[in-house]
Amino acid sequence: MKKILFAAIVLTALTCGFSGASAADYPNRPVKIVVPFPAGGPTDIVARPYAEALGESLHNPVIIENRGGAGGSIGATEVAKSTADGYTLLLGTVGTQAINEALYPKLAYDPAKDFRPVAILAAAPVALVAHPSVPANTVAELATLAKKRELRFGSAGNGTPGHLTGELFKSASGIALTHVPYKGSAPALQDLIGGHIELMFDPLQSVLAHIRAGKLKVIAISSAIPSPLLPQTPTFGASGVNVETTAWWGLFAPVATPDSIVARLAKEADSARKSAAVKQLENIGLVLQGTQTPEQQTKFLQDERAKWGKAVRDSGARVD
Amino acid sequence: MELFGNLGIGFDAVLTLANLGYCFLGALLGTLIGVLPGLGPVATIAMLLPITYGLPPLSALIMLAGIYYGAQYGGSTTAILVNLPGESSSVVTCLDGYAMARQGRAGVALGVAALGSFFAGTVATMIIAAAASPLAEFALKFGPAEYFSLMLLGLVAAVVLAQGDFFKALAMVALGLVLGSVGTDVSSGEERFTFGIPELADGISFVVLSMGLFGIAEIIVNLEHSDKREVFKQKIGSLLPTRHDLKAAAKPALRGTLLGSVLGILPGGGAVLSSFTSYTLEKRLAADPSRFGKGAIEGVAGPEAANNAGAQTSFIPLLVMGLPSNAVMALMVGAMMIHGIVPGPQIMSERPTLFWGLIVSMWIGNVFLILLNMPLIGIWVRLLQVPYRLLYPIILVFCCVGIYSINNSAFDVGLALVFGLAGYLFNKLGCEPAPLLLGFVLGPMMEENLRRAMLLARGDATVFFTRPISATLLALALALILLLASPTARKTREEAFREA
Repeated sequence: MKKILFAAIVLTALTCGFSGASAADYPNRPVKIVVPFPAGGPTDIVARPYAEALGESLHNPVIIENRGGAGGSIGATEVAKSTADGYTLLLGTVGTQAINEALYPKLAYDPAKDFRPVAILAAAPVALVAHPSVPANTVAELATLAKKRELRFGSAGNGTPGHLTGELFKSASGIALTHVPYKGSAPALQDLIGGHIELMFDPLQSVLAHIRAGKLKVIAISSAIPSPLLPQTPTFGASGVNVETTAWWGLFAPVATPDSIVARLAKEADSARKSAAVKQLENIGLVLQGTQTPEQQTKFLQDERAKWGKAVRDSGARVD
Repeated sequence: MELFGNLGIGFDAVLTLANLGYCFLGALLGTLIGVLPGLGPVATIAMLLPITYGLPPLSALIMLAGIYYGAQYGGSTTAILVNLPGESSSVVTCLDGYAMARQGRAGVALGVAALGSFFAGTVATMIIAAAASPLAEFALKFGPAEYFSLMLLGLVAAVVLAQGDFFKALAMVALGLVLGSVGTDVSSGEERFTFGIPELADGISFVVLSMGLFGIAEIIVNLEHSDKREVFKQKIGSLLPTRHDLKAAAKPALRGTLLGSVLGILPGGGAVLSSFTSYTLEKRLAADPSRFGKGAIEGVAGPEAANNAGAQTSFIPLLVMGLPSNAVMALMVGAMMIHGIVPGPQIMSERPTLFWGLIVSMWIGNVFLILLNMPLIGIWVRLLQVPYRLLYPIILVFCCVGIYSINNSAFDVGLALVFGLAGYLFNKLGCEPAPLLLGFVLGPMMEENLRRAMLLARGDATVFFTRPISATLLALALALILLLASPTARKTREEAFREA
């Protein structure tokens, strides 16, 4: 059996010629996925089950390397500069691939020119949540309330999907809100649940448990369609605010990575969605994306860069 | 009694061979990484996360929690033996613990630290079981204004705590504040003092700073003297604390436990503040404060109990509200999410086995830790007899491995070396690094909360005096300042300085 397999590999390698050889025996050593944020965070949570599933289907260990810092830019830069052989990949986010470009004027990588997408792995709507004492249950009631008193919204920090969705929401709805940035999601939630601020925009998975426990109420979510986990909650669009955003996570490779390797990884990432560990992500509020053609991916990324770039410029957020 | 029923559920869940095994494994691993300088629970838990996939959620959490509180035990070992604080909370243990070790009382210091931690862990676990929900509600009352006042109180305490020259202590706190402001400003998103280096965008890591200022600097200082070794060799005598030692340590440990239990539930600075506050308190209460910094047993027992109690109660916000209060708790959230459990207020009612099982496992873990640590003391003390030419390179290597593992960054290792040289300079100038570290930890949080409180109050600074908790904390800070300025207190300070 082993001999036949070996013969098959040699044969494929020969027929595919030189350029194909690297793909045919790919991977023959551990593959590294750089997660550009600390372990245990939302990006890490998406990465780990995928790494597990990919490791099984690639018959080689897939290792996660957490390389946090500067909104994911340090890890992304490292991958952009690494050898394009399919052994170093990036768990890119809406931040590293769409927001940072506009946020950091001196970014050391170009999200469009230095990377090629392998697969978009998961997405999460941004939820607008309120302290239960806030006398508004809909966007319309919120608009009326905002005319009477100052409303403050917390976010996980300047330039995060939550903050920028809040800014897009403000300009599209004309509702006046004051932004209060925090260092990460947890301290902002702490102040929101304690009633020190009234509102917060944050990806669904970090607020879902508090909504279910009645510690927070959800007013609307930012995705195009309602979340299956909160079927009663309207989208921003259905509430009359023309804003549609998601926080998302995808697998990216350095731009020069051979087509065959990217195709192989895309195929395995597709089947990884069916693994039990990856399916678990749906329970915590994430949406697993369907298969996209490379063209669809390119279009998606272009649109995202345009949308978030505008949000960053409009909000005046900047890091340098 | 509902409490006993609940604890029964917990014991039922934990008292299986497998779960006891994971609890022991976690405690053991925690002790080991705590002892290895630089390698902290964050890096270890991050590395072990994938392994926990295959385990039932309770077993996974029991093991990860064990690593965390085990590391608190282990962290004091290096602080006492080689002046290396592995965690921000063991900085204080260095002050008197290392002084005790130099007097040949390392075994006593380690014993008191372990017993104090065990006592604190036991009490704190009971507090979690009995009063987790009301305590979590209390923590929610802390808004930005309250945090600011708490941090201010902590900083005032840092100056009071400092040995020797008052102005030097003030200067070190100020330097700590400046170093703490390196990185991206939370409120405006502007980068400060980063000099265009992306590695500095998130600020300087605590481990990098403390490894440099304490560990590496200590090694450089010791390279100057070739004869220091003898001190350790001569007086290795007493391995375990005597009855007299235990008596001296009992009350500080009790006070430390209470302080730590309360402050531990506050996110962020809670654990650090509790050990510093406990030290300040013991120094204030002592009949002869001049002994502090020169091997006072109260200075080890109090803070050690405080930091272990704080480590336990820092689980409260996570377990009761699903809000992680520090980096390790954030990893625990990650571990739960990997198993499809969304941590939040519903855990206690929806998954009572998980909730109570974890709490009971903490107490069992503390029993394992004391059984594990007491016999190890003899071995640790013997480590001090390893010649410096072997011991120092080993410590340096572990420091580098530990620092590198935080962010897989070689830049951080270089930075620690720079701080090592700075620490050597401070030693020559007679400046204590402890106030600097406290300023470094508290400064950024204080600024962040000051600006947030002002933003929320629309620029009205009276908010700090009109909110009762905040006003109380500010009054305490003022009282400390008055105490410092009073003639008697100044006299003791000066006496202490003269003897030093």
